[in-house]
Amino acid sequence: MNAAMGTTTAAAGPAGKPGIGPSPGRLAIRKLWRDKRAVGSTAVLLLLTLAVFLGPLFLPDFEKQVLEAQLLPPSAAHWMGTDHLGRDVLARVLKGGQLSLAIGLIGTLISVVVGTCYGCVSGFFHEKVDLAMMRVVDILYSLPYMFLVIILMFQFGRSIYVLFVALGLVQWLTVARIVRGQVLALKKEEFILAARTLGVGSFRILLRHVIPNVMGVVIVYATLTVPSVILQEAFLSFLGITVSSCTWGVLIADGKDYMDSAWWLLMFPGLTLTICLLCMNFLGDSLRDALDPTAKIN
Amino acid sequence: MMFIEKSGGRGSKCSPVRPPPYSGKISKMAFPARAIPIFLCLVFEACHQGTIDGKRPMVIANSAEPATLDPHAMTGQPEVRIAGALFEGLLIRGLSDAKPRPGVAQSWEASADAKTYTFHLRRAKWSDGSPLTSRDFVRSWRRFVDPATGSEYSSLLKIVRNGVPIREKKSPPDSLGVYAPDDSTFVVNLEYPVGFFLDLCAFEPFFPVPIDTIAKYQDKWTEPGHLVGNGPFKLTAWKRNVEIDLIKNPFYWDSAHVKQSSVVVKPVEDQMTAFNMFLGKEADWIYSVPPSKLEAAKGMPEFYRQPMFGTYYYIVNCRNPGYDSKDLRKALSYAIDREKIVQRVLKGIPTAAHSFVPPTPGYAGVDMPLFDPAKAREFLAKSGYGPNKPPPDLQILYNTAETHRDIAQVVQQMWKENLGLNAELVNYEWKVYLDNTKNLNYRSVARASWIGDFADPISFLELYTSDNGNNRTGYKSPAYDKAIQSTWTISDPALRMAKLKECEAMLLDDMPIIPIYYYALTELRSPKIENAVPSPLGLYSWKDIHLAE
Amino acid sequence: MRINPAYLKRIAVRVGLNLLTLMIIVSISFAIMKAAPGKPFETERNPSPQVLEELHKKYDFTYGQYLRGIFLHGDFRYSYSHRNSTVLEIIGEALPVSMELGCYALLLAISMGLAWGLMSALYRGRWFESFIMALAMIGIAVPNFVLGSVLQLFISLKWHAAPVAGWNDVSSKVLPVLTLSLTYIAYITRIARGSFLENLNKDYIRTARAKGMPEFRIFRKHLLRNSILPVINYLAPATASVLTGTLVVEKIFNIPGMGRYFIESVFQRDFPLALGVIIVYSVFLLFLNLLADIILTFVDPRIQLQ
Repeated sequence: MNAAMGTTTAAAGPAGKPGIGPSPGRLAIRKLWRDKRAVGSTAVLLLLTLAVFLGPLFLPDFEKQVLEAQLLPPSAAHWMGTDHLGRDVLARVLKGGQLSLAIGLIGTLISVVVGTCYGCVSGFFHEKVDLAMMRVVDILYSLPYMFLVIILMFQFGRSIYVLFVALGLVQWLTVARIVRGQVLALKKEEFILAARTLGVGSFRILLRHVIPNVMGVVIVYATLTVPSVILQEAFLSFLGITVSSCTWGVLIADGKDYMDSAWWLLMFPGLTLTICLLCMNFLGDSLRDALDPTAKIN
Repeated sequence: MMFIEKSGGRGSKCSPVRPPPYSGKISKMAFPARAIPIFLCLVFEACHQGTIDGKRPMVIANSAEPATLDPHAMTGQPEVRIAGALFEGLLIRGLSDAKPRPGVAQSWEASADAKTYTFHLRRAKWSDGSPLTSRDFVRSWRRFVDPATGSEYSSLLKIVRNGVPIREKKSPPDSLGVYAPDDSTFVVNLEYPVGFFLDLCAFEPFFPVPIDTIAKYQDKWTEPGHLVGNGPFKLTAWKRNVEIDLIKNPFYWDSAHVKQSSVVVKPVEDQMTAFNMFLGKEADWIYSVPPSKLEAAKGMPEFYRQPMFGTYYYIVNCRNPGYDSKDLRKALSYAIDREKIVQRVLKGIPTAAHSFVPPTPGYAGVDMPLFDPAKAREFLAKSGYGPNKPPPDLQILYNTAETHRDIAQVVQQMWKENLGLNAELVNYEWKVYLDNTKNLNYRSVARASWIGDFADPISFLELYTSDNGNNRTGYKSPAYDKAIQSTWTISDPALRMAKLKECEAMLLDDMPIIPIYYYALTELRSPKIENAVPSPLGLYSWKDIHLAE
Repeated sequence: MRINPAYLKRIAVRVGLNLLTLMIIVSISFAIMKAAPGKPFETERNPSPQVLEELHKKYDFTYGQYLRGIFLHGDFRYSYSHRNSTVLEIIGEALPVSMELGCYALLLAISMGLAWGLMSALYRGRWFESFIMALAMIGIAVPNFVLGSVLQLFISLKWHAAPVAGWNDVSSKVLPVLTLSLTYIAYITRIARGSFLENLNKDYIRTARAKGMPEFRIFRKHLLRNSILPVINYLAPATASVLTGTLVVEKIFNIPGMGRYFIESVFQRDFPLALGVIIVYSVFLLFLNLLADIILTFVDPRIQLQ
């Protein structure tokens, strides 16, 4: 990220040239490193990701029902207790993490990729193209998107891939708008004009100059979208539109019914989800503060 | 949803030092925050429930908003419950002994060949005071059988003369074999003797409907103010998704017997919410308990469990290769530990199924083993399949719901442990699941259930005749069809039951379906409600129940 | 004020575009729903083919018929799953309830969000700020159905301070409104805090104070107007998501609003009801966006209506 960020706006040239210092990317990394909140969140998230992907290797199968061991409270054998079919909650929480994080990340990735491309094209080229493309975005923005997600889920079945696409397709609109706004501002920059004058093709300009500079805002948005997507999946699970019986959303939706009889069914998945989302939000905030050169509020 | 702030343009000053905390008067600025305590004060306002006659209405939490109040258009339990309050048929369902009681008909006789029934009606009235005559019954049954009405149960009228050609649109509805020789006599001509005909007469779609009102208001005839019925209660208000208000119908022929003055039926779809409403005393009666609360509910004095006339089972697609062998099907069936499912997953509420037809009074029933892993492996070997040669695409299809998922997962594990076979779990939402099972689009095994409409084994056994529209297994057995057909004409009840038992044994020997458990209803009912005795179908007699003070 | 013919013309153009958008939305929804597997009148028991035929004859409609119905007669047809009610009746009863719920939630969110945002900006650096920000983070990270269930369990069942379900008198409205608004209070607090902080240090505020203007007037005349921009920007997408937020709240507290028809109509393949619901929601979204843009032009003279 830092290299890409630094290529064009403020290239580190030979010493002595006025006004040139470390690139915004490097500055951002430095700021982040000093920000305790950011470091803490990233550490927690990394730990969580490791646990979620490696943990199940050491734990009993998250699907194995032991009907004799239903609804056991946390103990040495089951650190997070067992659920109503005797399955180990810790194993399910970790497996759920895999699925929920995957849903969050891939859904966001789809929206970012689609949205960035769309926004770049829309903002960079002719004004009429921009007008048309933004009209389409406005129309799509007004579709009650939950409806679409639900219809898509019904139409194409309860597969997790459909969910990725459905959630991703809903978020790309905002990305497109943000990117377009940035691109419009960037279009007037001198270095773009310079590149054009030099005869660099539009596609190369977009790829090498525009996108790297847009990435900052997009990354901030993405970091704040992942938790949002995970929450949307939880919402869909609560309504009964599940893709798997073991995402955090499903665990929480099922667990809330046992709030007063088997608290561990809600507490552990809920706590894990909350911590994960909090860290992502903190990280997003810190990224935004770090990447914004004019930030006055720390 | 996150708002991304676009900061001001370049050149704004960065303030390197944090500004000192503001020390001026802020009380006036923070006035919106003062709203909190005021808001909270409003929390403690009492809530009143209106009273009628000084007596509190009985509040019932129904499991869904009724789709319609037209007895001919009803299909679901929530609607049918209310139909019994607003209308009454020739007979009323029996209580614990299941024998039908007189309703609008005060007496009746059957002819010697049991093909003609004559009902003598009492002098009853509609809730608008107009007299209820046998002509009303004639017209109602004609409307019921008419395909244009769109009633799903109209197939039941195949037993009445000309019922079949009318349904196939080859005859006009007026040709139905029902007559009203005079205002208080109603005669029914059947195609063949039917042992349970009297039970049918107590069944909701056979209720009389006010034909003139329907003609006047068309689709809006069920609105309060329009709807006219002959039941113990009448409709005073219908606020969609909020409540249905019923008060005692003064024109009901037995209204002296009806002690309850008013009832409020609230549709509550979320089981947990209904449960909480019961605990919070906002409902006197709820018709289901969420699975997570079953253990807690079982210990409550208000908890009632009634067996219900329905079976939960798995259907097998007998057309697909591999699954056309009855040995494989029997292997799959014997490998399921039904008791374990019932006790562990369903908390002992339903009963493990040892046959397809649930226990019926007067019917001996078949006894299938509940769980026999050794026999299951025997059958599996006989079928030629095994862990090394698994049957193609072993799958359990179910519609998306927690209980179905849990049971399917347990069965999946049981097949793995006892037979060494791996099954895949597939779930679709309701409509897609219906589509797939009806078109035999599922690979191997799917979940199904059936609730009998009237307490007779034939309502289950006829399902798997070759031409029955609800046969979703592709099972075709001419021998079975013949056996079932022959039971329709047997008039001696004992003989008929014995023959039906033979039929069921035949069915279970072929095992196109794998019964799992018989349904049971769970209810939470205030102990102050008197005379609440359910029929085998889980319905209550509205004229008898009464909330004591 | 800046209401001139050109401005009104722009508004008219926007309204026209909105109607066009609405048409496109209805068309897309129609196509998707018709293409989905599963048919409206199927139930566990098969009705006979003749009955199905009759039902389809009575209730089916083509795209053209539907459009003609709604534009010429205002007829949104009968619902498939509630066969004695028209779609307009059903929505007509449910919409006011959802709107009331949504409005109260948003009003609560705006007032509490602004207040707490302001207080945390003013009490910068003290424990109070951290406390409020922590609460805000919880509001953002915890799903609202969990919050709703927790509130129902403790406040209704354990402390008997409010009814468990329903939507009749004031006490039954408190918990649903609170549940729905909590996420938005959290977001608005954060946004408002950021915006207030940014503006509190600006020169014009210091000038005003130096001139001796009372605090409340500073707030009302300068601070609020300049800081509210990001909050209003947030409100448009927020209102859209309030509509989906009501789905959860209505389920938990058994409120007779539009939310259940949202899901149920698609679930049951109840085409007229689904289309009706889509139209209502889309109209809301489109015109709320327009309203937000109009308000923005009044709040910030630099912004032009597009």
